[in-house]
Amino acid sequence: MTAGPILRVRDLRVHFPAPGGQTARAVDGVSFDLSAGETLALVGESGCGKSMTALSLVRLVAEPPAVTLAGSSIRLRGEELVGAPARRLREVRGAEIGFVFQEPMTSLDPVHRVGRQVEEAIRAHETVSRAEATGRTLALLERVGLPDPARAARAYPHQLSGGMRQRALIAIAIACGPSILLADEPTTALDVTVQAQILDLLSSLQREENLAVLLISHDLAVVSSVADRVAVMYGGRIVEIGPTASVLTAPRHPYGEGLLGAVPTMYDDRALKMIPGRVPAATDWPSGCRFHPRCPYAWDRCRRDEPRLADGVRCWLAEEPGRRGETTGFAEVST
Amino acid sequence: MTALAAVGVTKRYGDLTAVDEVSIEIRPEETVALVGESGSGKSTLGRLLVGLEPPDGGAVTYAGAPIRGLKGPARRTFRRAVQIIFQDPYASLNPRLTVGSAIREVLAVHEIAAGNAAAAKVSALLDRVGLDEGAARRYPHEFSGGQRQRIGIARALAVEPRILVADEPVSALDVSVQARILGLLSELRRDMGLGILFISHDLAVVRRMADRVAVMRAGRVVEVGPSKQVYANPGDPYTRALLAAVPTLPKAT
Repeated sequence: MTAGPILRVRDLRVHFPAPGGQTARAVDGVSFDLSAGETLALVGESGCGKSMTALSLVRLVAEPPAVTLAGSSIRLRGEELVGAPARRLREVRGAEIGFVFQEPMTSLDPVHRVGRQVEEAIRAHETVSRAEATGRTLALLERVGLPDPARAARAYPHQLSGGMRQRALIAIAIACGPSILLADEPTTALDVTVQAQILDLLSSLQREENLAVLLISHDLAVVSSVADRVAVMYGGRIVEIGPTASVLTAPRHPYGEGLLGAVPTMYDDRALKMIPGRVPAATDWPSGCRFHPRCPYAWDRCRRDEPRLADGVRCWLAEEPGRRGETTGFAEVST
Repeated sequence: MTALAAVGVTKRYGDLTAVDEVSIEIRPEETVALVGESGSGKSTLGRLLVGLEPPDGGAVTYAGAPIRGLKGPARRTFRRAVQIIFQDPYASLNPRLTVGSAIREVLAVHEIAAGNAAAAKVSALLDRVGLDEGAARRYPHEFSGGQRQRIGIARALAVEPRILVADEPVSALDVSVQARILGLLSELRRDMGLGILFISHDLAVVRRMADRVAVMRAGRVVEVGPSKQVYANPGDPYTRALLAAVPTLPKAT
């Protein structure tokens, strides 16, 4: 296998025109690498830019109105995708990068049988006979753990359970042997027992195919169980990136600390923390550090100057760690 | 005893028995959680308990009296005493009514307050749920998800209920907002003695909120008991499977 990352994203900026001549800076300077066999999770609240980042990678955000700014770079095995022709992007989608979204019911076409939809995914990228496509479809449906592949192939999406639909969607995503899988909240709509099965399936496919997985999730517990690395996003930017074990147990950026503090766990009774305020609109990112209005540690430097992502964290506390001890941090909520 | 109770209630939709001879009781000042996966019947049970639908068998009782036979003042008392909030409060708010009008409407229907008294009550309710007074003049679409849930709660509180059925009240919210709504519900229970039926699929949230937990599967309650006991020592195999499936965060260092 080739060394180095399969996907290199550098300074990705995707902006939208907004009412009143404003600009929504939804994705605003995002850089990361993704390597074969690893899972990188993008986490953050709604409006932080995580889904938009994933969709922009394969140009699933309509341009116009969206604009990918000059200087943005998305390299797939060295090939620049920013500015690549639409035809090339269509080839990349599915054949090189597969995707699984939250609600399989809206991603599957309700009027066509599941088998036909998997066949179409294969034939969109490869010239194969109908019979071969059918054979491969059955093999794929079996591979994703559908107990009766022939029956699943004949079914319409509404005849399957949520978990089975998500399996069918995964079959479509991997139909042409992509090297990258984008999974946007793939288990959010599922019950916990089904969620556990789907996460297991994604892990085993990843192992067998050496897939690079970009997981978008708001669920930090799910992320901790499957991701190798985590990128915490806020304000259209990555504010912290690093190994899952360190980002989710000893977060260095206050935003990650606040997110973790707000989640009840299954094993302790510590008071929940609250992050004050809310994510601003992408037209109104604050000056200085974009998190400073919600940050209990912020001082004048944070209001004035925006920190750069250095050594995996975008926070002035990294330079002045003593400041952390000067306040009590996020307020507690009593439950 | 002003408890809300289901006594052997059954609800069928065609061939499907959504709720199958379930008994459960919610008293003021306690939080009872109803957990289970989709299709387990937990939301249907919630709707039966507030009288949105009649059961096909068994009875829902309030303060010991079956709600089906309630008439006149007794029926109005029940209507005020038991309120429900949903996952998506937007769906239950009229988009053309300001928040203040929506709450005043409830106050008028239940003959609680009118005119200046109603305006004062609206301000007090909004303040109670952590919204500023100006919220009364705005429309539902002007609010975030968390603020809409606060509006839903304010409207439910307008009739001074004793029991609140909360059906997945924080499932659609980001975690930082979720924590604040959970804090608000706990406060209401503490300060106003509200009893809460907390319907949720999120076992970590339930562990934090509930005094007692009832686990539902396929329309039946398979296990009920004090939260601490159910989580530490689940008696039913299904409860064990559910708890085992919950992904957990690593412990902070």
